[in-house]
Amino acid sequence: MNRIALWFFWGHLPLLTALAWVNDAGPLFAAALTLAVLAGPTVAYRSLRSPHAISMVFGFTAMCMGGVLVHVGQGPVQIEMHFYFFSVLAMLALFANPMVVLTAAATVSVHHLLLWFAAPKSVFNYDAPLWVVLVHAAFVVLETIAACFIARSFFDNVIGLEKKVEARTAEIAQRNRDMRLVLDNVRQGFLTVDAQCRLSSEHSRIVDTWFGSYETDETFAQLLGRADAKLGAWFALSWESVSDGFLPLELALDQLPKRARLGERHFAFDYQPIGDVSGQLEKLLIVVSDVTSDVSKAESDAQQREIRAVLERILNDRAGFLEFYEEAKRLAKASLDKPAGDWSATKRHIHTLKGNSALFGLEAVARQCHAIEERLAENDMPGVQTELAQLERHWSALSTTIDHLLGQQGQDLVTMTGEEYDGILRSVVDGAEHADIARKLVDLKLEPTEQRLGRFAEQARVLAQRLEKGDIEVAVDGNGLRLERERFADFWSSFSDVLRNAIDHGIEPPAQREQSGKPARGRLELRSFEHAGEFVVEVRDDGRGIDWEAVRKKAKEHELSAQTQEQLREALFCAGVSTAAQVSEISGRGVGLAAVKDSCANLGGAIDVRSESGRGTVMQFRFPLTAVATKPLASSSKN
Amino acid sequence: MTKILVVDDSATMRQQVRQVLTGGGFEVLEAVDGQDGLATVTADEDVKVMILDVNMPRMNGIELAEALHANGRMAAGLNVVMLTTEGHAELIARAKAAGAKGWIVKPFKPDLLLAAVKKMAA
Repeated sequence: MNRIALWFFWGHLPLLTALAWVNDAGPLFAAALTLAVLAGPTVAYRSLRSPHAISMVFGFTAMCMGGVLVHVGQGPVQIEMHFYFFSVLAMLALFANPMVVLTAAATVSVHHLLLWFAAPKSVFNYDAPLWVVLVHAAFVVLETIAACFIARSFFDNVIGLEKKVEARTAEIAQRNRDMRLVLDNVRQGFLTVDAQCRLSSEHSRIVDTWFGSYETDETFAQLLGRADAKLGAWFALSWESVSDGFLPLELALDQLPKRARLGERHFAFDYQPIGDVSGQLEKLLIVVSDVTSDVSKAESDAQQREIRAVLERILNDRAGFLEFYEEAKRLAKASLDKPAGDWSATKRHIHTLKGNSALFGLEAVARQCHAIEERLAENDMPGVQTELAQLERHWSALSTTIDHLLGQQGQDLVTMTGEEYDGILRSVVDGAEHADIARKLVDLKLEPTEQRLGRFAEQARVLAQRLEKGDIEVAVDGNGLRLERERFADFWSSFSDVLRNAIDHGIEPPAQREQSGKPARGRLELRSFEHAGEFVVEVRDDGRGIDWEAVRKKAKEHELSAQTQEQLREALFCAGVSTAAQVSEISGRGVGLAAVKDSCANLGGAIDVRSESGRGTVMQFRFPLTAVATKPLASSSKN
Repeated sequence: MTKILVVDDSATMRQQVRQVLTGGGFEVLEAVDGQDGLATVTADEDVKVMILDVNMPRMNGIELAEALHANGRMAAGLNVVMLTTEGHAELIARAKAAGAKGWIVKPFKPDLLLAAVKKMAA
């Protein structure tokens, strides 16, 4: 508007100059006067920031311009030139600002009065008295009142309205943007069902996005069933407990499904009963939360923990981890190779994989195996397949990471301590026998028994927890001895049965131990040492000791001689004999100890058993040092 | 004292149920499997509520519920509730068809188990 006004007033310049020329009123003077008047609005337009202030300058300008017109229009039509003031005053209403009109009115009043007084010729073409000036002023006042009113309503109904609409539109757009932001990030919605589980229309919009829209006569179970039939059926069945009223409402609600996975999203459900006055369930508010990000965070945390566990293992006991990993790969492959019909092998593999994985910190693998076992126990074959597929996915990702971590380091890595290194270096510097140095080097490739026994110790602790024998104490002492990994593989693999035996049958549950005046924590010692030309692996527990009477009975059942203590000891290690009252999945099948006896004999070793009722058992596996000592490289040292 | 019979092959589970219910003022009898449970409840007319595990050797919980339904003991006022892990929809449906009043998911919350037994013994 101000720009238009500026153009409008600049248009006066040629007009007024021409008029002055025609009227012989000094065109140059008229042009100079007009330019002087134009200077005000032009400067104001360029320098003032407030459009209101600029438009008020235009109110002032308009009247000055009128003054110039009346001055240059001297002569017979000078009075008619006054119409200009009234037309322009009316036009000023277009600024939609009464202040512009008032400014103009004030300007014209002062201007008219001053000129009438000082230069009456430039205002009147006759000798007008004061009352004429006052009549002019009265008309101006009347028009000003009208123009102010029009300006105000023009602002309210046209200009202001447009601005209001614009502001409101912007406000709505902003609110829509905010709302979209909220909707996009909303992770919780609610819906309500009546006592028959029928959905009511009252619900959050986000629920439609998650589950699809629904009819109000549908039940929540049907809505869930559309995405997951099994979940829907489970909900319907659980709802029966809510509606039949046999169980307390709190329990029935507590047993409604709390979690669901629909497609890629995970949801959690929370149920808030709304009762009527008599306390009967009238409505149920179901709060649905999208917990997808929580679930994936938990999954990724678990993965991180697994990888950390793997790293720790690789750094601390690489050989042990590799052994576990090789077996785990074999077990996973055997379990995942689509078993047809016979699930007993899968069951076994999964069970072993679960136990080993738990031991090596692969929590997610262990959990997954557990889930498969559960499904197997329920004979839920589709469930087994689903869980197996999940295990396969997880295992494949994990084993890729493990392979990467293991990198180029093959099985054939020799590790030594600084002390061992110093020892060898000293031998070389001292000019020791080549054979002697060679023996020390060969030793490096042997496995420290302490490492091996340490692994068993850990296994024993986990096993004790599982068998409810509490947090047992396991002491390990390898005495710096080493053994050939390959040659002793069979012995070590059967050795775990000795441990199982000691924990399952030897160590009593904490409560029972306390009753018999023992410390509540059971104790196990695993040692290796050299004694009297023999290499000894010893297992010592402070449990209840061997029940020789039970062994005697079992031996007789198996038609074995059981007269002397020696014969009893023999019987203990015979296949089929077990002192366990009940065969459990852990031990008690009488197979384990027979295996350890065989593997021991294969290495030329012997077994010693000392047991004291109520005090514990010591089992010693003794090997002649010749079986242990490596005679390598005697020839190569000569070369 | 109202008698409750818990039938479960897991000694731990029986012990847990016993602990909760005796704490709530009930007399608790135990049976180690379905057949044992059937014999116990047949020998004792006063048993008011039976808590049955589903998977048990010799006779499972469903078969036991069916037997109690068939011999009229349920009609005579014995309330049966199943104790099961989550997700056995078909088994629960069968147990309910055999007259079981409801089911409680293992591991149970002690206060809720007690509330349920109180309600069914009333």
